[in-house]
Amino acid sequence: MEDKKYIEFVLEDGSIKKYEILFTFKSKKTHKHYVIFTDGQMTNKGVLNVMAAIYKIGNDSVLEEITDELDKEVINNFLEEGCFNV
Amino acid sequence: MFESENNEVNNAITILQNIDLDTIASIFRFAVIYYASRKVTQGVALQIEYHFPKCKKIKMPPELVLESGDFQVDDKIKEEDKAHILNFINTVCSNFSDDCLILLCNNLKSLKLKDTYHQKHIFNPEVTGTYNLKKNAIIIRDCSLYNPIYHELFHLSSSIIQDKTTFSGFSQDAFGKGLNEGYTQLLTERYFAKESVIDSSYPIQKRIVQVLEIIVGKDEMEQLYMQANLKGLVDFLSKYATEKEILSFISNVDFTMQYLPNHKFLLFKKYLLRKAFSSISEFLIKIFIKYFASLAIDSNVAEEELHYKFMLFLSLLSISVNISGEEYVLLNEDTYYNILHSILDNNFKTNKIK
Repeated sequence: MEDKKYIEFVLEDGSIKKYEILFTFKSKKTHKHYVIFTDGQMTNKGVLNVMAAIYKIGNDSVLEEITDELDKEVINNFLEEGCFNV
Repeated sequence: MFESENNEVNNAITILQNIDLDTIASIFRFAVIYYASRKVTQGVALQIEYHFPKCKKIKMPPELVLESGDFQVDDKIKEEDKAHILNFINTVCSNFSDDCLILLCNNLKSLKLKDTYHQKHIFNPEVTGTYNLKKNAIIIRDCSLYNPIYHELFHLSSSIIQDKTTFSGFSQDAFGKGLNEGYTQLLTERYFAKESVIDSSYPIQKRIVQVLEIIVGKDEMEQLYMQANLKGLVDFLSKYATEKEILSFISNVDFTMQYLPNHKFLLFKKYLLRKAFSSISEFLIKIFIKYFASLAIDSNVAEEELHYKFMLFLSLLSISVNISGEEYVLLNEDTYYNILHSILDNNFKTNKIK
């Protein structure tokens, strides 16, 4: 079964960095869409590095960095609860 | 039986009747929570970052990119069909969130609709419509009883080709077609019963996905379907079964869809079909009991909700199909009572279930 979906970042030097999408979801609390993705890198302590961002559905789907504490709380709740009720 | 043995049995029954099962359940409740939380913390630890690298461009996967902001329909489509498509768009837009509408919006503008039917289906009156994703075409048979266009529009709304793999609702290429057709029919009847007239398409597969929907939740299941996310469904169910068991279940549902319409199958195939039904019901019972156990220890879940879900589960599986004089059942009487026993007599006994 095919399961991997990627976001590709075209970096300023022209190179492409691929990130695997782990989850996409819409919060019932904030009504925003979130995407959680990873480059698959683990730290020495065996911790998986993941990134989270807000994405906007439109002609050019845009990723937005998360700065708001409420958005961070939504991401943390999603990862802890592992459910859709965020 | 001797009188002394009879007395012993009576004494044992009296002791059993006096056991306060609610107290026992409340003692074990903490053990269950401790065990469950240990299982969770054994996963991979995550470190979250909220900044991503500076870049010129970000390319998102196609199912997250809306190619056009509007719903556009080809001018060549007949006015009568356009009215159905418009009705579909209005209904879906008012019942689904915007992230569920991307594939519909992207596929709609190049949709071709034909009402002449392909030659290969001419001898099979049960097939009233098809959706061909590669050509992005809906082909329907003129049918006076009901209009298959709504069923096919759900296929259109949940399909995408990526790296030569067709993702459609709960299927990937040929795998998962049974679940996919069952859920497509369920959605068609849920939102377009008036227009489509409830027909007899995919009765078994529809019941199976209804059971899954009790466990996954209606909104979540609809979202996974509209985003063509079979993997997401498998991930969700992996709380209650192994991935191998889930894939085998999906494969069994496919098998029932492949052979049920065939009235001339051989004896061996009938045997295989019975085996498939038995495995499907075994899987559904297993995951439902695990799901139900998690609800029973959850203090936020009301008694009424538990009762409703339990009765819904039993009623959905109590279906039989008669094909060429052969009766096929998902839940026979023995299994029905076994489930009742395991739920009422085992460790899920709380004061919510009486």
